[in-house]
Amino acid sequence: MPNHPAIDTVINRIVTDVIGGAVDTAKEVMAAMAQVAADSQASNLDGLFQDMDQAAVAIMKICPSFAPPINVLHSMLGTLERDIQASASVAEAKQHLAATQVDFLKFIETALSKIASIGAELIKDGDTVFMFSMSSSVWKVLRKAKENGKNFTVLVTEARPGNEGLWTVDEMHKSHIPVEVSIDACTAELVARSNIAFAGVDSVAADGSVFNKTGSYLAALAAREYGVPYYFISDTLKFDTSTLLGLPFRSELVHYHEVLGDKQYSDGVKVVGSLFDITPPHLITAIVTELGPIPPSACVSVMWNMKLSKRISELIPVWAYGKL
Amino acid sequence: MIVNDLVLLAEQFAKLELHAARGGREVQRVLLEIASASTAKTSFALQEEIRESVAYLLGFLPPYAPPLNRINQILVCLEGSARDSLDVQTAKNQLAEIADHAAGPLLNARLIATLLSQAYPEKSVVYTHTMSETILNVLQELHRWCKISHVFVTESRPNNDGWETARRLASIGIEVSLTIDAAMPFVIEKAHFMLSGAEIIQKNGAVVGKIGAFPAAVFCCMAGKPVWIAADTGKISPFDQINYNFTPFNMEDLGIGSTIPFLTVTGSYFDITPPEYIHAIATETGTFTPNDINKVVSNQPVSTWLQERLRSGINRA
Repeated sequence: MPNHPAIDTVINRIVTDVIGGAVDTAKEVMAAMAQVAADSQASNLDGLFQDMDQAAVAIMKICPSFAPPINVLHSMLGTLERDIQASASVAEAKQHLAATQVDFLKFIETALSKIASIGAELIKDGDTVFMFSMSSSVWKVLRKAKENGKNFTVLVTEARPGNEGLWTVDEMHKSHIPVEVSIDACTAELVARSNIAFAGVDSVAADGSVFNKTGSYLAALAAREYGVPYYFISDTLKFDTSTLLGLPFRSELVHYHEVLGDKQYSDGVKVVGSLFDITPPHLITAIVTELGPIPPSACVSVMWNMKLSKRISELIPVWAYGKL
Repeated sequence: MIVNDLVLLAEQFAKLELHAARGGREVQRVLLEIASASTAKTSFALQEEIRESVAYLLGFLPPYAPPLNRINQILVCLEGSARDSLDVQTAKNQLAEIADHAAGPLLNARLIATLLSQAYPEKSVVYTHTMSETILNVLQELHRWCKISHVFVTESRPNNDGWETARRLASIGIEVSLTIDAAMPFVIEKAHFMLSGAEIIQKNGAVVGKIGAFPAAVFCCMAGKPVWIAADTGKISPFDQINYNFTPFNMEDLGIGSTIPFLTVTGSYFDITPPEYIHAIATETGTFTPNDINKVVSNQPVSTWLQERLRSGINRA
């Protein structure tokens, strides 16, 4: 059976990398899943579950190792599984799925605002703040601190390949926050000049380690060396429940052209490295979430309390090894 | 009076077109030519004339030991002549005797490689940052003796000198992998040790190198990977203190096309790795711990005038 057009659209947008970040991807996945539920012609819950399951599998097949879209699938299929168990009607189930979408959007809005307030409290007037790469969540923290009347300077490195650090330069400039930029090799120098360091998050593991753009680990090592507190900013939507099963993060590799461009070396120079790295928990001061700044060791407790779908949990091991 | 050759040399230094060793040879050539052509009537006047040229050059000089060491050698000679009130022709004759006694880079590399080959087993995996002629020659020697199986190199922004290292190692059949500077920890974990060149080895054992060498050394220490510096003794500085005033790079250096007014680009081309992060320094005369470096240059005469200038700061214009 062909996919719902909303699913094909979101798949295309994920594959062509036109969606901003993991949270925006999650929002679009949620909207598409809600659309599938609303348009389903199923006359019973099994039929509705099949429609939703087909959509979830199609998304997982192309989904990179981002926790938020997977958590959205957990949320939607989990809601439906509970309705099946409670023998609800199709209309009730559809109503609950629509409510799940509304709750999700509300969560995103309030979580980020809470995180901004909590994170902003960590910045003191006169601070020098190191930020690695780009993250809309960290930007919100910095803007909130500025709004609260704090004067501080942001130091950022380019974050090769991709140079997302330059997006931070633009954002800080728009927010009238003084910013300085340098190359990634200067990370240690910049961290040493800072009072506090921040980075965004792609996914958080059950053991509290953080998967993020390559260079986050380098910054964490520098922060440890210079005794600078290093915070990751993330809502709990980015907590990757597949890691509860001991499954690894999946990272893309740095491509040849991302480093060397069009330069051709015929002598067999290989380009190595991952686009994402993993910062181990012992280098992280705390992960600033909507629940507050939580120590890495507490991440597993947060995950045990998340509502998971049995079906998605079954699919995840196959998905994590790219065999879905 | 500043002669044209000196201006050209200063420009080359300002654009980082001369590497440290060649820069040393060029500085010696130009200063000796200036001395030879000088119309000074006394050795004191000759000394002042050369000091004027050196003062000009110091405004452009990157933190390279070989040029500073050659300048020191010339000034020590001149200061001796002036102190002993030698006539100007005798002073010029003594200067002319300053010859390049340094051994060729390939011989030095072979000697350094011999030391390293005794420290590591066959098929070692090496991490290096940026580009250094000494390191390339040493790696070539180690490869010839089947001592290395793989080299990881980080690209070393700005300039991407690491690309050239990767290209040249691959061209002589060494298995080499290149990655971005931000992925340093990723490749350091895979290596047995880090091998790095030096621009200046300070008397206290600290090493001035291309930006990125310091964090790489820090992460090597955290990962338990020894940091080896390989350099000839011409890179060891006899000066007690040098205030470098590293000139920061600008948006053009970084290739950042930002239109943001007043954006500060921070950082400079060089950094200093403190001695505590360095396992050993291999030179053509032997292996030293950073603490031992002081002894290598303890008998070397130092121009007090130059030492004072270096204390107040060299600065690339």
